[in-house]
Amino acid sequence: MSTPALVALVAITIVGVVSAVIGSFGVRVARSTSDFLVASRTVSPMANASAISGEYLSAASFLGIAGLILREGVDALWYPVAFVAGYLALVLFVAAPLRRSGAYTVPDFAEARLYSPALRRICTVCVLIIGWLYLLPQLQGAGLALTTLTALPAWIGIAAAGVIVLLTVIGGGMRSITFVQAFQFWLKLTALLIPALVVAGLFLSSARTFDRPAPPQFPARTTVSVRTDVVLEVVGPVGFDAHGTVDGRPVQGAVQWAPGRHEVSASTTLVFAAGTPVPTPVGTPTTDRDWLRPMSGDKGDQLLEIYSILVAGFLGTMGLPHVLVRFYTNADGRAARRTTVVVLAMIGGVYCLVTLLGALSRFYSPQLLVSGQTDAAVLLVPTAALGPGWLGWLLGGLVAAGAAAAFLSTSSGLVVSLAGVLFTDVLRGRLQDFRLAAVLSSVIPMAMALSVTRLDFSLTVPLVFAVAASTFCPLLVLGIWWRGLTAAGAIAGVLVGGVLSVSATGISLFAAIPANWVGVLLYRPALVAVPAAFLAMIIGSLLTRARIPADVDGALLRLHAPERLGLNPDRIDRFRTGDRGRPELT
Amino acid sequence: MSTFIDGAPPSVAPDPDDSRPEPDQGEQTGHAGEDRPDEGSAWLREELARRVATANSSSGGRHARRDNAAPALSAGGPARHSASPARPVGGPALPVRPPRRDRVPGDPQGAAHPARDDQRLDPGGPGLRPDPWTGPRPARRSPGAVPGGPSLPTPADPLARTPPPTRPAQPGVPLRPATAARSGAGLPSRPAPPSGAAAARLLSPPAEPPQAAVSVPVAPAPLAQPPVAGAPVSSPPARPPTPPNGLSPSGAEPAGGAPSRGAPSRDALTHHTLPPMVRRPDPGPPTGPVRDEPGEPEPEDEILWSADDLPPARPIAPPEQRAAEPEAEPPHGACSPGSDDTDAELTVKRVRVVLAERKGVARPVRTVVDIQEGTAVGELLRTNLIGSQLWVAVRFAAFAAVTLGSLPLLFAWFPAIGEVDVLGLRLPWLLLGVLVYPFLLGLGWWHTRMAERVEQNFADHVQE
Repeated sequence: MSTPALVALVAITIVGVVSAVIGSFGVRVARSTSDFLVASRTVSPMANASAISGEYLSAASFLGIAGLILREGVDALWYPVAFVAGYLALVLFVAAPLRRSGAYTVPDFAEARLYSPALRRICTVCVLIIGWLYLLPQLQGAGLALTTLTALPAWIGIAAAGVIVLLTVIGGGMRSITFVQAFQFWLKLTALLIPALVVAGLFLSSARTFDRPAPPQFPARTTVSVRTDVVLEVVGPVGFDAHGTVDGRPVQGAVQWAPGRHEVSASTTLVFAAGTPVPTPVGTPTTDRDWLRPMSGDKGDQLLEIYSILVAGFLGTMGLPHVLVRFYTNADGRAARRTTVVVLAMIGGVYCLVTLLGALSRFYSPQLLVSGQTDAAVLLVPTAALGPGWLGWLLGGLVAAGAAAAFLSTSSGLVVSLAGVLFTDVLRGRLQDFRLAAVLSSVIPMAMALSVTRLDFSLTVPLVFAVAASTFCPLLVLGIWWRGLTAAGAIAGVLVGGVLSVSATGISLFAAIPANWVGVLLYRPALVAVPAAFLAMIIGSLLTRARIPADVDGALLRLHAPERLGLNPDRIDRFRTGDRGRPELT
Repeated sequence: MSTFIDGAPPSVAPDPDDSRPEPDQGEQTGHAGEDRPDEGSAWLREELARRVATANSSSGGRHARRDNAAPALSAGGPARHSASPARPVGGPALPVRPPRRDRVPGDPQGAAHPARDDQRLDPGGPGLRPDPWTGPRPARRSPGAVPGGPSLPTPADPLARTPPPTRPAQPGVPLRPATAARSGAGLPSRPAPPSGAAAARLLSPPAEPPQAAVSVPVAPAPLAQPPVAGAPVSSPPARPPTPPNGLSPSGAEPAGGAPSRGAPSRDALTHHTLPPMVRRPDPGPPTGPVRDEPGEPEPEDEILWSADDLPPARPIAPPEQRAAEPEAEPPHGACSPGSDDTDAELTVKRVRVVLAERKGVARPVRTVVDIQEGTAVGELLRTNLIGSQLWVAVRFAAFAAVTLGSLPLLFAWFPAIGEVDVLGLRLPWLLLGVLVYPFLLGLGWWHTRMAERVEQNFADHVQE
């Protein structure tokens, strides 16, 4: 194993160990069910915001976004914009009322608001689908990081991440997870900030520019291993050495490509000399100048895609179970709002750095365009920019540590929220059941991650957001703001949105997709599924107007009245085991 | 105020904690209620024990005061809030005491504490439940024979209370004012109390301000405190029963007003008890304070300031709160001798009340009830709150959506935008990679301010 690989492995190991240690400290503090599920609602806005940002900035999103920027340029910036804007929607419509509902999970909220066990069960299923769908890329990302950095097989990364997450969650529940995730957020920020500053300094001092009508060039002699079939495009003649199958013919030796499209099959090794123009994947900007410009693709479809991404991100964030459960740990509705604003600042800052690193990776690691592993861009930029040497290796190790923190924090947040739902809705038991629930909620996605081929984060992450946006967003928004919502209407809306988005997800993951607007909507179903879910929910409620809960006014009042009027009881108190954990975490 | 609060929670029922103690009001129930509350049950018990002990110790003095206070309460209560509610409050409160007294006999510690409670309670409650309770009270107090224990506690109580000044002062204050006036003459004889009273005053001041802001209680508190100190000392457990005699504390003076009401026997008891009380106070203070201060002070402080639960309880039990308010008023009506029993009850409830006061929930009661019960006013307030919040949120969302949503169209229709350099960056990169984040952050921050202002206005409106 090479030195940089060893450095990265050590860094990842340290993160895992430190996370486990911090988590184990939480065990001493966690005494009650309330501690386990919502940290007894004693988490301060700053700590809570760190934890939310920590678990929201998944490896899938920050690695995936950098990779998208490397490939697609400015158009990829809509993803982080949508992800951050989701928190604006949260603070506008959901944060404070959701906290004041006193419910602990979305199913709990649904039942508290609409008194429907059926709706609660449907919501439980949705939470599990969303959670497991989102855990999949997280765990696979751990495998990707390990493979990219150390050449170890991916399954080791997946298994290790799953085990560490499980231990952290079982150890201390939500309270210790809060500490762990807050720590992991600051680690991630550091891991992005330092390399970004160093590499940006290098870039500026080199007086290079992206504004040129040519593709990026390989900075040095580069060997690219193609692991999946790719179709590449070149705008000028390109020569390289190839071993494997190119354009359908077995090749051993030099190859010359004329401008146009060329296929490279899996298990082919390409060797490019320094200064060779980089072939780019089909459908992405070929020259740096195109890459700089917005709307580089087909305008109609691209507009459709951008708006769908915006809708999914804007409305989907509020439906992510691990984000929602975090709001229940706030002290009150006011704190929930302030937490969200701090989160806006934190993840906005991080995505700025991700954008910078993603753009710089076009210079320093363009070979990823050829191999298709663009998700590894952030991981490779530091070593590529600084060259072989301890500074580069250490920065690479730092980035690896940040990536590991990202996998662990998001995964553990998801596992906690899933376990919370399983624990309260499916298993209905004592603390032992929480641990069993945690095992269940992490083992299943681990098995999926090991058995399914990894897909680009840019595909899987927005799909999860779309599912969340078309199921929980209408339920939460209408449940909080519209007194006319009925249980039947809510069920109709969740089912319509869920079926539309999940089936679109399934089709886009497992079937060939037409390259037109239909295909775009299958990849990015939010633009259709979300309005459909809202409509179904509203129409369904209007049709069943007679069944508006009698207590609806009181329920709405509880959601909106400031705490100082004392109208917002905590449902979690049902789970109180007797101890009254007052102030511990601040 | 404090008394109101106490009374209110029981009647309110909404809050589990509050409701528990009050409903049980019966002797046993009172204790059970304390234990039941998930939140701060421990501190509640301690507090109750302290107060009971203090009450017992100074029962005689307080009774005298109580008598005075009771009338005052009845008079003041109605004016401010609703007279009828006040009585109910007193009723519930009374039950509380009995249990405590019973306890006293059984548990040595409990006995001491009960005495204290009685004293404190008496000052506040008297006005409301004077007659009915007076009869039973004597018996209860007698068991409280604890006198010896009480006497010691009393001195301590003031000190102990001081740490959590706001609570103690508030609860005791309303009743105390009247007592102070009355006791003024009679109390002098009791040397020990003064020190305690002084301490209480010092401590009480902080507490009072909040009360004043909230409701009547504040004013009474200052006056009441002095009496309290004296009361505990003068009439320990023995007198408590003789509340009507409240006169007893002062000995000669009280007789003038309260004596008539109180039974002769009671008076006699009080007189007898008084002497012991006075003696005990000196030694007692040290012991009493020690107990209270270590455990109670901190819990109380935390609860008072941080306790979220308490406020909710008050709103829930608006009726009770109203009742409590009348009681609080007693300070004004101090002139009329109330029943000792009410005082005792009041004291028990007071603990909770104080918490509520701090948050300032006490006043809102009626409007909060309106809102909860869906009256026309409540309906209007609620729809107004939700409507304003929704309007604010929708405006921000629309602004963000239009701003962000127009960018793709602009980029598509005017490709030239993609060629513009600003600050060394292409405009689209600058907009989407950097400026959009401060933009979203600013919107979020601004909205939070707006939403908090709406809530503030709503809460202020409801509480006025």
